[in-house]
Amino acid sequence: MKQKWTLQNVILLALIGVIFSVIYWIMDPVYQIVNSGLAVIGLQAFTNEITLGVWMMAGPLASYILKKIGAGFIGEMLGAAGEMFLGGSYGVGTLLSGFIQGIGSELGFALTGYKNWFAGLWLSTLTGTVVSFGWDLFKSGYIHYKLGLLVALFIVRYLSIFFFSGVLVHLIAKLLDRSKLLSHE
Amino acid sequence: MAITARNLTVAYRDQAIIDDLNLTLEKKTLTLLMGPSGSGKSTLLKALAGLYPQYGGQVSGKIEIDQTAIATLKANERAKRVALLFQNPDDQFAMPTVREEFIFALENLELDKDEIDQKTAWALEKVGLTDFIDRSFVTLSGGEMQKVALAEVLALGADYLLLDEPFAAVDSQSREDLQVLLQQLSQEGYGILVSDHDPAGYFDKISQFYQLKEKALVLVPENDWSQYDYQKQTVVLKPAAESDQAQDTAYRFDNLRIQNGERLVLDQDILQIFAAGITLLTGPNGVGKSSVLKTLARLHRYEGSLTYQEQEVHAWKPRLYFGQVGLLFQSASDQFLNITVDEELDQVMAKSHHADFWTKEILDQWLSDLHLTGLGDQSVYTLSGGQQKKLQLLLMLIMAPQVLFLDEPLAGLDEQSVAVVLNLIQTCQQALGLTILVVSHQTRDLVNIVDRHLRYEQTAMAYQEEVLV
Amino acid sequence: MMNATQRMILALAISLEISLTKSVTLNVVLFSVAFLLLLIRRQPLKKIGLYVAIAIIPVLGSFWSFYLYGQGTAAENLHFGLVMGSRVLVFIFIGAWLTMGMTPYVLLASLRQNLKMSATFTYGILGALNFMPRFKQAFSSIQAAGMMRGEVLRWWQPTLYFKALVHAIKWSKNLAMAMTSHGFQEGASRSAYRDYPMAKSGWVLIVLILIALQVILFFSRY
Ligand SMILES: Nc1ncnc2c1ncn2[C@@H]1O[C@H](COP(=O)(O)OP(=O)(O)O)[C@@H](O)[C@H]1O
Ligand SMILES: [Mg+2]
Repeated sequence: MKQKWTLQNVILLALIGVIFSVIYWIMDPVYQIVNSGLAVIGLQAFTNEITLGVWMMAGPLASYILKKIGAGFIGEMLGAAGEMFLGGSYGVGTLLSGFIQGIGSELGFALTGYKNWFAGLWLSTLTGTVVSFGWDLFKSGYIHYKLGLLVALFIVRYLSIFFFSGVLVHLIAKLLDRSKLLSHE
Repeated sequence: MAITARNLTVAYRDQAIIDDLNLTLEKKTLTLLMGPSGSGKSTLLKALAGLYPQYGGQVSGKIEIDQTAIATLKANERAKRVALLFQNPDDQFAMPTVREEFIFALENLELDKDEIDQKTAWALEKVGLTDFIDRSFVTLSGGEMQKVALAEVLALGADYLLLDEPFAAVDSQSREDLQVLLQQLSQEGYGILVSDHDPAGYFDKISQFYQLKEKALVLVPENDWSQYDYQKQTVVLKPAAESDQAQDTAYRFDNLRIQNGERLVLDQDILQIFAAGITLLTGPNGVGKSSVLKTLARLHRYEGSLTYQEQEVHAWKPRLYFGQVGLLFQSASDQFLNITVDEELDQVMAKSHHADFWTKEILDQWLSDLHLTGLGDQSVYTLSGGQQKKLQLLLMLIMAPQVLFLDEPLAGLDEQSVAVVLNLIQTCQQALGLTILVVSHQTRDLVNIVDRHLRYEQTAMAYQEEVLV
Repeated sequence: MMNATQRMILALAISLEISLTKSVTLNVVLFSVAFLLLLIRRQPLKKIGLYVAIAIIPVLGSFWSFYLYGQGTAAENLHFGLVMGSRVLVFIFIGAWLTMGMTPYVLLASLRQNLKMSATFTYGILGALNFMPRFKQAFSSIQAAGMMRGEVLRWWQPTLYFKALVHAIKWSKNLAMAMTSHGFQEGASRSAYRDYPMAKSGWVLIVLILIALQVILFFSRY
C-alpha cells in the first residue's frame, strides 16, 4: 500500500464522491416515499434507519478501493457536499451528517491500523452505526425514545449499514478486483 | 534540437505494444504517424510525452528531449518543452471554462498574474479564438476544444507538440483549419507529430510520414505518399433486388432534429430505415454519426418525430425497446456486464433471442475462427483492444436483437479478424433476418456485405449507391 | 466581508448549534434572516421558489413524524415536531445562503489558500466535478447495455456501481494524464492568480453572529 495520494487517486476518490452525491440526491425523494409508506403503519421512526446504509456507502467504498488513510472520511464528505450543491433536501445539514458518517466509517479502518482492509470494512459498518447513532441520540432526539425502541432502531440501522455499506460495498469491490482494472497501479 | 527515442519498448501487462522503436522528431518539422486503431499510436505518444511509466505503461529504452532524459524531468518542467493533445477532447480539461483552464495550467509553471493574462491572450489569438476566453467547455464543439487545447500547450511554451488523433471528433472544415494551423506552426519552428488513421489533407503539408507497423515505425518515402490517399475510389452498390417500395420500414424519420451540445447535427425531413439487410452509414468525421446512432438507440434526446414500428421511439418502454434493439457501443467495455469471458458468453447464450441458432457447436466454431478460444476465465477488461472488440460483437450477435446498430465494429481489428468479423455479421444477418445499421470509416472492407448506403453530409442523410472507399 | 471559507465555517457552526438545541424561536429567526438575505442579494425568485419546493415535503415529514409519533406529552410532541420541521427549513436556507453566488471552484480555491489544503486535492476534486453531467449519461447507457442483454440492473445489485466505477477509473486516468501533461506536479509549488483572503471583519462578524445566537437561545422560551 502506497500512502502517497497521487493526482489520479484523488480524481478517482472525487469521482466516487460525485457518483454518490447523485445517488444521495436521488435518495432524498426515496426517503420521503419510504417515510410516508411506513407512517401508514406507524413505523416511520424507522425510515432513517432503513435507508441510512445507502447514505453511508461512499466512505467505505472509497477506503476499500483506494486503501488509503482518510479516503473514507473524504469520500463521504465529498458525497455530502455534492448533494448539498445539487440542492438536496437537507441543505447544510447534509455536510454535518457527512462529517459524522465519514468519521464513523473511517474509524473502522483506523482500528485495524489500516492494515486489514477486509476486517476494516466490517468494523466500519459497526463503528459507522455506533457513531451515527450516538449523534442521532442528541440531534434527532432519540434520547427521548424508550429503551426497547432504541434497541430496535439500532438493530435496524446496523442491518441497513451492514447490507449497503458492508455487503454491497464488498461485492462491488470484489467485481473490481476480479476485473483487474486497478491491479497494475 | 529534437526529441529522440532509442530502442524504445512500451508494454502493458508485459505485452509489448511498441518494440525496439527509434524515432527522431526535430523542430520545424511536421510528421504524420499513421496506423490502424490498436496499433499503438496513443501508446507511443504517451511514452514520448513522458507519461509512462507513471500512468501504467512499462517503458524501456531511452527518450531524450534536447539531450535531457525525459524521465528526469518533473511534469512542470516537461510541460514547457513537450505537450500532448489527447484523442478525446472532452477528457483533457480540468476546469469548466477556458480562462480557468489557462490559469490552472500556467499556475503550474509558477507564472504571475500578468504573465498568465498575457500568455493566455497571445495563445488564444494564435489559434483565432480570442473571443472564447470566457466560454465554458460544454458549449464548445469538438474542433473548438481541440483548438483551445492547442492554444493551451502553446501558452505553456512547449516546442514539441504531439497530437493523438486530434480530429476524431472534429468536423471537416475545422479539420482543414487545424491542419493549416499545424503547418504554420511547424514553419515557425515547432516540432509537431500528428497521429491519424485518415491521411486526408496531410500530404501537401507534412515533412515526414511514418507508418506504425508490427510495433515499430516504417518511414514512407515521399514518392509513395500518394498511394495512401485513399477514399478516392468509388464503388457502386448493386441495386437491391426488390424495389424499395416493397420493403418493410423499421424506422421513420419526420422532421427529426438532433442537437449535440449547442450544435444542430441532424435536421432530417423524411427518411426511412428499411427492415432486414445491412445499411452502411458514412459521413465526414464529426458530422454526428455517433449522435444519430445514440438517438436511434434511445440514448440521446431528439425533437420532431422518430418512429420504430410506427411508435415514437421515446414512447417505447425501455425494456421492450431494448428487447428488440441493440447498440454496439463504440467503446467495447461499455458493453460488458460481467467479469470473465465465460461469464459473458454464458449470459448471452442464456438470454439470446435466437437460442435455436446459437448452439454450443456454432459458438465454439466462431470462437475459434475469432481466435477467442482459451480465454475462458480471463477478465474481459484485460483483453487487448482487438479481442475486446471481437468479443463485444460476438456477444451482441448472439443476443441477436431484431435491430442492431454497430458503431465502428471494425476498429482495432487486424486484417484477418476483419474478414472473420464481416463473415460473422453477414451470416447472422442472413440467417436471422436482422436489421443492421453500421457506421464505419473502413468502407473498403464493408462495402462487400452491405445492401444499402446512407450518406450523411452537413445535417442530413440520403441514400446513395456510390460508396467512397 | 466573509470569504467562502469563512462562510462555510459559519454555516457549519450554525448547523451544529441548531442540531444540538431545540429552540423553535432560534430556528425561525435563522430561517427569516437567511430568507431575507436571499431576497436582498437579489437571488432569482424562481430559485428561491425552488428551495421552498425542496423544503415542503421534508419539513412537513419531519414535523409529522415527531408530532404524531413522539413519546412525550402532546405539548412536548408538538414542540419537538416544530423544532425538527423548522430545523430542516434552516438547513435548506442556510445551505442556499452558503451556495449563493459561490461556485465549488471558489470554495475549493479558498479552502486551499486559507486552510492549506493540498493542490492535488483541490485540483483533483475540481477536475472530477466536470464529470457530474457525464455520469448521468453513463448511468443511462449502463442501464441500456443491461436491457440489451435482457438484464435489468437494479440499484441494490453491485453491477450498476461497478460499471460506474469502470467509467470513473477510465476518466480519472485520462484526466490525470492531461493535467500532468499540462504541467501539474504533485507537491510542486504553484503561483496563485487570485487571492482569497479571510478578512478580519469577517471573523468579527462571525463572532457577533454566534454571540447573537446564544443570546436568542438564552431568551428563547419555545
Ligand atoms: N492502459 C492500457 N492498459 C492495457 N492495455 C492498453 C492500455 N492502453 C492501450 N492498451 C492496448 O494497447 C494496444 C494499443 O493501443 P493504443 O496505443 O491505444 O493504439 P492506437 O492509439 O493506435 O489505437 C491496444 O490493444 C490496447 O487495447
Ligand atoms: Mg489511439
